[in-house]
Amino acid sequence: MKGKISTLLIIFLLSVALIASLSCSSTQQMTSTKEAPPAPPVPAKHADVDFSKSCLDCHKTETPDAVAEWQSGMHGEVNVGCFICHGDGKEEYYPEPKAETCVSCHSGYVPTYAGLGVKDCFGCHNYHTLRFHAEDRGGFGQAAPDWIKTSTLASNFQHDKTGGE
Amino acid sequence: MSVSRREFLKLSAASAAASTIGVELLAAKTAEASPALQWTKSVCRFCGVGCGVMIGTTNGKVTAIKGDKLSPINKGLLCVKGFYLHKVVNANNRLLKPLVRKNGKLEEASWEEAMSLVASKFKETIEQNGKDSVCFYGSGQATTEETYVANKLFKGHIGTNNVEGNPRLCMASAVGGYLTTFGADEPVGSFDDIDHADLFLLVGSNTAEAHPVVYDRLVARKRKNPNVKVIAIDPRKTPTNKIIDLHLQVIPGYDLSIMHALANIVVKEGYTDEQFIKDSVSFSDGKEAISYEDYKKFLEQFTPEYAAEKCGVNAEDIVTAARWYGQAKGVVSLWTMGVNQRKRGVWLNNLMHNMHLITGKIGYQGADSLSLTGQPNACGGVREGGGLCHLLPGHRAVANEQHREQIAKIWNVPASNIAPTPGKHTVAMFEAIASGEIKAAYIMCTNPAQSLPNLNKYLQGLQDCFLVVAECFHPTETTKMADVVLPAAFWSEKDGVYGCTERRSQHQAKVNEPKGEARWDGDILIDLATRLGHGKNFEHFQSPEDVWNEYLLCTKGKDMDLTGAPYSRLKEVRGLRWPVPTIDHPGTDHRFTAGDPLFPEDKAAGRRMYFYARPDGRAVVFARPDLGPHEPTDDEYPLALSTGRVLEHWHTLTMTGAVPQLVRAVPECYVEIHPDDAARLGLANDDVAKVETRRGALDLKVRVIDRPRVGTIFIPWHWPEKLANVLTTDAYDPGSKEPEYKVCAAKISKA
Amino acid sequence: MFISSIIVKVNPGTAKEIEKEIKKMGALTSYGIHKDENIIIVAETEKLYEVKAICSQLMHNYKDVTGVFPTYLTSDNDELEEHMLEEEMEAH
Repeated sequence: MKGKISTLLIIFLLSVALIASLSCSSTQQMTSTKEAPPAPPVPAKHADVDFSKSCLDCHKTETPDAVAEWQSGMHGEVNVGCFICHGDGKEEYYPEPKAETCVSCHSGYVPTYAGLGVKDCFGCHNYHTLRFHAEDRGGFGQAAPDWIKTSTLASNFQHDKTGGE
Repeated sequence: MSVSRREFLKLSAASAAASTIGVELLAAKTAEASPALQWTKSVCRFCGVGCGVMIGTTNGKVTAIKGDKLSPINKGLLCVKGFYLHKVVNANNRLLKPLVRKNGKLEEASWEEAMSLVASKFKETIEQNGKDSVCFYGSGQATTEETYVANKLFKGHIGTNNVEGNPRLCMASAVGGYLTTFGADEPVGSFDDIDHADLFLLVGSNTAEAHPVVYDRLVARKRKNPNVKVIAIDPRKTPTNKIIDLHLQVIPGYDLSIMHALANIVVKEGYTDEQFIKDSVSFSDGKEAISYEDYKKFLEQFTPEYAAEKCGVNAEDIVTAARWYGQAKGVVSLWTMGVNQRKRGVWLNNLMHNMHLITGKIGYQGADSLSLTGQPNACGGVREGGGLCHLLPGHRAVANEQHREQIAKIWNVPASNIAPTPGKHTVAMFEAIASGEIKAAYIMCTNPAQSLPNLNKYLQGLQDCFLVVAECFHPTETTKMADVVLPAAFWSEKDGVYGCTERRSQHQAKVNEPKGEARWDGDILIDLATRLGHGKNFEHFQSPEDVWNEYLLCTKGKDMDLTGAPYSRLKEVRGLRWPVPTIDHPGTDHRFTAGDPLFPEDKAAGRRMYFYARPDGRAVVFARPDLGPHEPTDDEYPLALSTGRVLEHWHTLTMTGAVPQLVRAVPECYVEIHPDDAARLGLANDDVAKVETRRGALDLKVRVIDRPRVGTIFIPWHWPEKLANVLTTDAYDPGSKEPEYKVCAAKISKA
Repeated sequence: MFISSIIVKVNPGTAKEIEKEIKKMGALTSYGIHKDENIIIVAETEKLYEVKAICSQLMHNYKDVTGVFPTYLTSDNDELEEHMLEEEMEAH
């Protein structure tokens, strides 16, 4: 029965998709951007370190790739530090950042991803660079993917209208 | 509780929907019986940018915060400090009960005991030593209403002009600059200009860390338009350097010469706007009017080579900067403490304006001379509300007889109640406290025992005088010295109005009851007024809104007219930029030009700008010497010391120090030193070094980093454990009385 | 009996009003307003096509509804598949 439900769920979604005005072509394009972000290989608890140092003091050498990615992205550019998404490591620690955290600063973005076929911000954006997954893989340049522009869902996708850049 | 299969399936379905939009439904479901998360529009408690926030409350408790996406300032964005603001409300350093010093120790007391002690001490002091033996020291973080009540009590009823506020330490030079150049305080344009400028000139501003949301707007502007350029004049490389195209990394204290040199090149190479100069500009050497020709002659000495030599930069870079400035369609200049906290802060402010005036790049979209402010209500409460010793509400002066009469009428007191001479400015006030001339002081919402310059000179006086501190947090360096500490309601616990950098007044919403026995600061002051026998003129203040309504009378017909901004409107809109003279006026984006409701078309007679706050309608370009710092470096103290800020902390850590995540981000104080200097002095990362000036010494961890210029060191001043202000100088600008925190001579050695 | 969840996305400030209207429509339970402009509702219907009808109704009858997103469907017995097939066949 459980197996059936998941199959049926997909059928159901497709059958009611018309109501949400999803055109067939945009659905196909969507699936290409649906790949989940790579799970970061981090432990559930932060190592017991010298917490009098700042995150970057150690992570510059411990996880240089992550730091470089962060620096290359918008968060690095405007100095939104590790602790915002990951917690301070001691009081609170989120190895995988929670999507709810994003909307505290980006309230304009709230649920505009509903119906885009992704679960949360990270369905489209890489964790550290914040660029689109496909963009980081060289899939497209600075521009937004075409499906965002052409999809009839674009009216519900309001980053630029309300969320700043 | 048994859940039917049907209920379970329904909840599963709803949860699936909820997870799609990143909501945890279980929490929401359990809250269904009680009220769910409520969002209320308010304004951020931190810096002067004035970001709109939405405060989330559950059952009357502040539980969440998010940016207000409808705010024209931040469009939903928050910086890392604002992100944690809701945690400060419930911080464990909140003061919950009045404290009274008994046998040398602060002990909990009742409000009645505390207030009757405060009232009797103030009464006694005034009777025995005169009105001027007491003082009030307020804050650019207090609401306008609170500052207004304090002003009314001290200037109008007690009769002393010893009313100051911490904006003296950060904004006074900007006030002086705007007043002398344009005839009226506060910027001509607004943040909107950032979105249209082609060139940004940042002087003494680490925008990325001190005003992150403004920085974000700069980044956005530059991203969209790769031709947009950013020039910085600053002794230190900072995170802001990520967007800087040309950095003039100057020796601290000599940049007046660069500003003159820029003007010199602009004039020489024909980038001036001759028509604008003819129409709207006059010239002065600071004492008397001079001609445009005199000004040109004056500039000749400031060759790029001369300024380059004085400031230790390349002459070619100065020429490039001047050309970029001249060629840009719109220039926005942004500056903060590096310009204001200077012995010649007012003069340097004038020079920022000079450039805009001679090139005519002001008063239209994308061009402005915009002083960034450090506190959320320095502009609104203290500058506009008249919370300094020489001011009265609504951009008025105590020395002006008419102004005194106007305000006395609103306050319902004889005009003779208001003393005609300015009281003691901040440094003089604390000197008088130190000397015993002032015997009782009321400090509200600020922490001078950490933030005053040359602290060692003032701490004993604060110990000795009768000190009342109204504060949300305890302990602070100042509450530790107090005789009475009064618990004040914090940000989300009171209504009020905050006025930010761009002349925008915004409503701060009360969403929860004050913690413990805390009371709204205005209420505490009204209580004191009543106990001092002045209750009659305060009893109609039943709420902050009542105070605001009386204050609005003070603004009517003034350059900062807020008549069209009552609470009913402010609660709905995302703030209003004055002048906003009527209830249906949308507010003003550029002053002194068409679109400003006060712009006199007749007097302007076709001129694009008419500076109506000046008698002749002309803004003043100043030709004054390029004086250097008060305390230049020498053989004994060879390094220039600057203090400043980091992104994650704010002022004296009373708020950000209560948020573990922010503490963790930058846990402790340090001194930055350039690798060359470090090598020369044998200092390595994490060494402990002794930093000394003529006033004090401090042991600090060394951070060797290519940020400060060679020959300079930098200390962030936030930490009470390491009081950076024992080192700084209290020499102040003779015009603005703002101390020169940003430059003094120091030496450093391994401890 | 089919149980399905739907996110109704509405213009800011209109959620409360619309939720009230939705509550009047039988067969719908509101699971609250989330992040200002999302109403999560659960529909209980005898026929599957009724879900479609509800979505369509929401989409077209309220000008402040900007999107209707069905997210989940289940049945409180084992008849889900049969019903779907039946309905599909009826439709053709």
